[in-house]
Amino acid sequence: MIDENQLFYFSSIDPKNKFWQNVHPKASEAGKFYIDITKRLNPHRFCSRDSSEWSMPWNQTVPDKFKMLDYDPNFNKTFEEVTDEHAYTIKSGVQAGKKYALMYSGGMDSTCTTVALLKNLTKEELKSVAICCSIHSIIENPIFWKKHLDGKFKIFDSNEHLYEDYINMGYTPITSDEGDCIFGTSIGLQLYHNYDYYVSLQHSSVQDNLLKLKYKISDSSVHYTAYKDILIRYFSFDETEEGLKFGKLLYEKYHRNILTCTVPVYSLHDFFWWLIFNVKYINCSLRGAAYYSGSIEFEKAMNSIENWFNAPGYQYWSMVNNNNGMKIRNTISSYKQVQREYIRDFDKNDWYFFFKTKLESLNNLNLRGKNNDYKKMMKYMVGVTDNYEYFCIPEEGEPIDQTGYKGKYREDKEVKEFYEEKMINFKLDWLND
Amino acid sequence: MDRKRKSVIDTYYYNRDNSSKKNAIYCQQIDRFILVDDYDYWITFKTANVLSSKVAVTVYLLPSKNNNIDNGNCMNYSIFNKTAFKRSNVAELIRNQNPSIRKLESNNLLESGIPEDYKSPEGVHNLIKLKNYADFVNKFVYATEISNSKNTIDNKTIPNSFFAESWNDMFFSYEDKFNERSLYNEINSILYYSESIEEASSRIMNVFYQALNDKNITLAKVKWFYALANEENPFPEI
Repeated sequence: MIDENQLFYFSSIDPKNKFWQNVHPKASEAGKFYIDITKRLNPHRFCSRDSSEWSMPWNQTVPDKFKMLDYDPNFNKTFEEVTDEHAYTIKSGVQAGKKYALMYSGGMDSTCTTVALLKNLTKEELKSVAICCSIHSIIENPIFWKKHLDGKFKIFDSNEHLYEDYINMGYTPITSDEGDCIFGTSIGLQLYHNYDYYVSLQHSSVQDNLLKLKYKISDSSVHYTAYKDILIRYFSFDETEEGLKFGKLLYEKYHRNILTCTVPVYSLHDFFWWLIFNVKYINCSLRGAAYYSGSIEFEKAMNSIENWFNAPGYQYWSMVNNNNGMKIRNTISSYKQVQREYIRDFDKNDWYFFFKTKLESLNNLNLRGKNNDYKKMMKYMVGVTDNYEYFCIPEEGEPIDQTGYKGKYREDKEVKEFYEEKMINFKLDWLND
Repeated sequence: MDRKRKSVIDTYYYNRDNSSKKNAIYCQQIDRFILVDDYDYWITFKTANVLSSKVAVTVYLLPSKNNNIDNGNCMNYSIFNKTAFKRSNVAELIRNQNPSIRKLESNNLLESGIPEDYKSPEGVHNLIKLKNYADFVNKFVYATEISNSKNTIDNKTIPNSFFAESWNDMFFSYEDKFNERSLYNEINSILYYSESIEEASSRIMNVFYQALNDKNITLAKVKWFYALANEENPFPEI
């Protein structure tokens, strides 16, 4: 019997797992909503990492490593200082005999991490750093590859290896997966990029006013609630009454979370930054350990991976640098502006500085075709408990292949019943008056 | 050609009977078009691939009825509704550095002026640099593709694409005398890696200079190549 108060560190509502579709008709209104989030934001692995309200069908907390630090309004280190300082912790590790495997997707975050190491480690020290990437990583920034990486590092094909392989070879994997969490989510970028279109869907009487706010996305004098109707439409999964109702519920849930947090959240970009800095953070920080390590236990994988942007300096920096042009200015073109500057100072590449588009670069690293067995198994993973046990719900007639998996694991009938019951009993408790 | 197949292909060649067809390269980062061409969209696509070392772009086949956008004013135009453009269910905006080809509906262009985050003198300078480089690459891609097709003795496309690697390794190729790649592939590579028009021009000239010295190409072919590219021939006499 599973304790109804069972605590989790990670959960995943992945529409590829048919269990969620099967339980949907039986679920409460809030339960249906919680499953429907995948129609808009997929997969859905949300969880608040501070004390702000984000109710869930089950009890979930955040591992200590990823708990949010207290907001410090007096933090005044620059992004460059924070980045160089963090590179020095890697430098110290190398000097102490550690080896690192840097996950390089070619995107801005991992390029920033790579630059920090190139800048702050000696040629000799860099021999202890291997680059893990794919051909797609090179395509994303071939000029950087040719000038700074080709022939200078030990290279691992990231399509051939899981995190556990690097750990088993004695490397500490470095991931830059939380980069978006520091700067704001691409979910926001997609709205900014289609702003005129979403305004056109609003009533004609408010369109002129909304168009005036187009370039105020990161303006500390315009509160995100001024965009409420656009946000609701943007979050709706379609134009039906049901779809629009969902959009409103999701907006209100974020809004409730922001009203109860202790960090200043004001502009539209703050809204999207907070979404990923808080409730989406655990997805970014734990997916590597959860999905790309199987032959070693979850806890060991989690603690063995160096989450670059999870460093305290970045966390503090991110909380005090909203609406000053460092994360974004008026449009998506300036997204991660301060990171672009850091990279340009090193590689002098104006093309990258002015024209690099934020892409879903993580895909460059996680194809991992050779290891599909794990993917098959993880498709059915619905949670990881605070005791680091995997809860899985496989489809009938498709038993999970556990070959090589070493962690604690259960997939019995009780797991299914536990989640069904949670979805039936989940209540709408976030609607503001 | 059966009717069903013809109707699908026609959606990609819908202007074949008149002269108003246009294909364009759209840059997600600035939300503007950076090139409009009215010849061959496969060349536009190749140009987009060469430019992808510097910018993530998409090739759009523009609606035939919209004749306002052209290569001179395209940087003032954005796309109104991009929500339908997805690859593998991910928005085109953030999907991939590799370009794809899309069709644009007639009412989906929006005149938007200079992109907001590029209004500073440095920003404008870099927009112009991007535009000029896109035009430069497009001209040279036409020249390389047409030259490559005509001078097939230098063309390794077929052995590279269809032969087993071991077959290529077994035999000495005429072009091995001056380059591992064919001359025109080398030029495309230069365009891909160069960071300015000046750098690319100089390196392309050096490639031709070497090839002329080694008697691997005739002066007439070089002259024809530069004429195709609409650039001054740096080798009027040698």
